[in-house]
Amino acid sequence: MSAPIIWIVTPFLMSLFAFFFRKQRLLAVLFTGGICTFLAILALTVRIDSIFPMGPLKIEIPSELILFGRSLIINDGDRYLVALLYAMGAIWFFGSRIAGVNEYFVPNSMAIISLLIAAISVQPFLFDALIVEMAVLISIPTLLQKESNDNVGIFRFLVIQTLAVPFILLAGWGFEQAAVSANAQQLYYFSAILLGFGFSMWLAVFPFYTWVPLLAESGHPFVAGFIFAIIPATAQIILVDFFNNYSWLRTEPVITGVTQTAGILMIVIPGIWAVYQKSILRLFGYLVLVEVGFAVLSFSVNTHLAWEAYFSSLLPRVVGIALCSMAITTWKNQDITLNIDSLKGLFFSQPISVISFLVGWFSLSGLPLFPMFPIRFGILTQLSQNNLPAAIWAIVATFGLFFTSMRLISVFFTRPEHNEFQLKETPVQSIFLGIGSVLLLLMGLFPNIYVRIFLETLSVYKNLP
Amino acid sequence: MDQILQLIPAIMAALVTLILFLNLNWRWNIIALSLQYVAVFWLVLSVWPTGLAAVKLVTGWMAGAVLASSIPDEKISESNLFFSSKEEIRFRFVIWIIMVVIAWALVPNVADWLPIAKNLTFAGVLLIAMGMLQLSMTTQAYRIIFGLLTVFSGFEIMYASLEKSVLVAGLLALVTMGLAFIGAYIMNLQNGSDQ
Repeated sequence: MSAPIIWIVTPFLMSLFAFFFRKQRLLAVLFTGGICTFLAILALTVRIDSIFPMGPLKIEIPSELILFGRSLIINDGDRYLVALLYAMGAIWFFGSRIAGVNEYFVPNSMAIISLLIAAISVQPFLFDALIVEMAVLISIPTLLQKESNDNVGIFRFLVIQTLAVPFILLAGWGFEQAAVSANAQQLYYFSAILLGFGFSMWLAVFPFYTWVPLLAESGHPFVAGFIFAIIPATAQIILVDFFNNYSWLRTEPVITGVTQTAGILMIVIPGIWAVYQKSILRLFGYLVLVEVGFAVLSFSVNTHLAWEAYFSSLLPRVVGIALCSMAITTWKNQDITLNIDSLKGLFFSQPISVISFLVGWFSLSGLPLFPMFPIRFGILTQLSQNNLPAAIWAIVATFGLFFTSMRLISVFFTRPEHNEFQLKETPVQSIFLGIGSVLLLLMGLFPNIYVRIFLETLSVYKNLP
Repeated sequence: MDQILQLIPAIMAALVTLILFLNLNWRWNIIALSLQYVAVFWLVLSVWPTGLAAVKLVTGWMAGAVLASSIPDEKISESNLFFSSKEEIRFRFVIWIIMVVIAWALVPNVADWLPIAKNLTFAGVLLIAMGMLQLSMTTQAYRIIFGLLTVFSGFEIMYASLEKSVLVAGLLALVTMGLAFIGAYIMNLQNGSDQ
């Protein structure tokens, strides 16, 4: 049995199976969550393309599957990414039990994970865009809420992600043609521009970033968190693949300059906007944008340390987003108005969710002692060596997030009069949020444990510095 | 004669974009969408074998049928505030003329970069432009789906000249159907909350 059958075909079929009993929520959650946990552990323990002992047997898992004349390839170095995506699935599926998401979330999201792994592993890359688009289409029913008529963010997400497809497909055609064309350089530039537009839409780069805060507001916060964690991460991995295959993309000064400017804009605009925002949902969206901005910035810096920083950021980013979205969902389920002014003294009624939200927020903001701090520090140090003004702008925007952090602390911990201390979270919510917070704090204190695992992924991209 | 025959589907595509853009009522929108896919089929026929080109027609019609099935019977020929008023129709008609002129003017520029026949380029660019215009002028679910289907049709016409892969054609057909299903699902959800 090949790796793509284990990590793409089987979970996709399982998601179809889970669709039929989606209304039996507990069974669906245990089934999909269990499969995701198993697949994540399997990805971490077995080796691909090499014989390894399993009890009395010797097993070899081939990396390639030919499907309709196209190859799906999951290399040994990709195992950690696959494990991360399935671990993410497990976190969100088990969490969905207490999040109050609709019945489509669990089966559809499992299909989304398997499709996105297929998008990362398909050769030729021409098919990436169409597979990602299918994942986007499958995600729409999970985002819609029956009680809400505000679907603007969901539509914006659908439109922008769909419009990215033609750009990526045309860029793919251009890259293929350029290799055999007389005016190769022109065609490469043309394709790079199209690719830039396509990825800008996928990654919510300025000016296509509006869907992120709108989706945070329109969609269910827990599902929106899942989308924010998985779609940009997949698009980034596909982009890393492009950078690995076409080395001139990394070295061309125009492209590096544009990527750097886009990254800085993605950090500066949301970083400064966050200071003035009143909706906690939109704030969450802006925080995600800053995180994507730092990822884009690390691509543009193009040094070994910057690429290491990018791969090291994958796990703490997912846990941070999961914590924030879970905490917001807890408040939403208790009909708390998700406006900063309405959250005064929330710590005294929801202490665990408030602490968890702040831990997630601090981590994604890059505060010292949290796991994103050394990563951000590494990227900014590398950036300052060749573009000091850009690094200063990024630091200014980061201070915007720090300022917002202080504002949130002052709101959450302002004790209204006659307010007694209560614990309104359920035990299950408390356990989930507690585990996430401790995990994030441990990652901040002992980064070497998880960083070493993800750095092995970098070995797959042999052409990167 | 050949040239005229090649122009007919491009003109047909232009006219259906006008009907879709005018947004008269459900019945007209669905008819226009069906004709749009006839035009797409006719245009793609010049670069693809008939069997493969028919995929576009069948998928488009199925997408139209899925969307039509989500409309309650009493609303099918209704012209209410969701649809265009007379003043709006005049305004939209003028916009459409401007877009046709822009699309026609863009054809030589696009031809510099992409090796596509002029009639296909014109129809493709116009459908993409009109689809984008529809997307930018509405927040209603069904208009957004019509807009996305129009943009995608325009792209498919142009892309058919560049890529002849059966798998890509199949995946593009899946995306078209997926958009229609999502549109139908959202409209059913909205109809349910209206009642």
